Amino acid sequence: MLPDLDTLILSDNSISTLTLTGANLSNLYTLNVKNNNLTTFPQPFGNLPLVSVIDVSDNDITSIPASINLLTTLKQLFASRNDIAFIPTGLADLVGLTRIYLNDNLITNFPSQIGNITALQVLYLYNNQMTGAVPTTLTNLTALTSIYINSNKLNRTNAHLAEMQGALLSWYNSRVGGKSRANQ
Amino acid sequence: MPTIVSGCTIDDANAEVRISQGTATGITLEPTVLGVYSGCQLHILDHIGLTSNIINLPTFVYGDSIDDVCAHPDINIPLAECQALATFYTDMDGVNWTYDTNWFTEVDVDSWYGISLTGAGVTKYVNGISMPSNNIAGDILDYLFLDIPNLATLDLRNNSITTLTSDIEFASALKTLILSQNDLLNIPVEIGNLSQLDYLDLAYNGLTSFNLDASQQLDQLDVLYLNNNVLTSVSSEILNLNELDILTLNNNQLTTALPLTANTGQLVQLDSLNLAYNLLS
Repeated sequence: MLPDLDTLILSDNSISTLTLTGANLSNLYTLNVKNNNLTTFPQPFGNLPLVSVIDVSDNDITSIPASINLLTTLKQLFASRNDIAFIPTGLADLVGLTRIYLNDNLITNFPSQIGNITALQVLYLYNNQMTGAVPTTLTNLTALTSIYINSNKLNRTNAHLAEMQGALLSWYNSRVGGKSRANQ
Repeated sequence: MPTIVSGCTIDDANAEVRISQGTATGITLEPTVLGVYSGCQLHILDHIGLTSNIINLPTFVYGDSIDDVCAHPDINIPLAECQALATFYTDMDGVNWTYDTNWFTEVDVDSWYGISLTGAGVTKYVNGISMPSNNIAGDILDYLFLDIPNLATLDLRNNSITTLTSDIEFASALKTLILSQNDLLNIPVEIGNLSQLDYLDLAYNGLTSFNLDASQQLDQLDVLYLNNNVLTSVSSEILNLNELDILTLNNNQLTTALPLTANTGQLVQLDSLNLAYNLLS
């Protein structure tokens, strides 16, 4: 069924479980399940060979499954305002990701593997529970144009952040250094 | 001497007659609407604008009757099609339409507002009626489909249409039907007989269900907009619309998604499915 479907919009309902078995979604490009009652990601990911955009914002999802590394075509991940605490290392396999929205979740450890996603342009991780240092791997993200990691409990004195570029440097200057902004 | 007229009716509907000129010896009446006027009064005003005399006018006809217009040699469509348009006009509150330019004037009917014609000969045939947002009110009845056999496009979006006749099934040439933003509460199942239909927009009405039966022939239907109604169900026959590319069911009251089964061959062409803002759980 639905072998040609490229856009599936199920947003703004009260869906608590969504299983992607039984449907042939081999052409699906956009899956929008925003603002439902999901507690887990719609799965299995193996049935989404072409998916480019997944929006699961505004649900009650608690974790990103390790099998997310199967979504090799994913470009945009919208998962803001859930209860996600865990980000699997396999996220780093999704090297085509350009936008990651994970703000307003319960993430405790900065997902340093994101530093491998060098195509990344937008990273929203604000309003989580992250502690410790901002990982040095983020300095690899030379395409980054927008980063928000405020409203966490991060250590703000990483010496390596001075080597950062672009958006990350701006963030560093505005949030950590304060010096360049004060001089402007 | 200034004059006004009031109390007129045209075919029993209220209408205003405008006086374009008056002299001491005679007055020319130029109503704005063709038809039969009765109950008209002529108010003669004095120099300070007070009514000094009232003259009751006899019933009079302004212009040719609609039947006369339809029979006129300059009307380049069949009599039955012209009469169907005349019925459409009178049944659906034509005197209050926002636009009715050239309607019932004896010119090429292609210049009547919203009407398009087809055909290479002297006699042409109505194949399109497009009158969005034109203050059209009432029921779409059989004559439009029985008497206008080449009708391919009917676009009456954003009017005040309350029902669609089951005789829609006779609109065998219909390809585009746009009735969004009206007051429809249901759609006859006979719509499934429109084997040429490729675009059906029924969004923004008050539909509680959309039903097709197993004999439906919507083999050309590409686009089906049913969003922004109050649908609580759609018939499972919708799954057999094998040409369908776009299906919008968002902003309804659906508690279950499409009754998809494990069968293959359902909605095989569907590109886009929108079920947002329902009651799915």
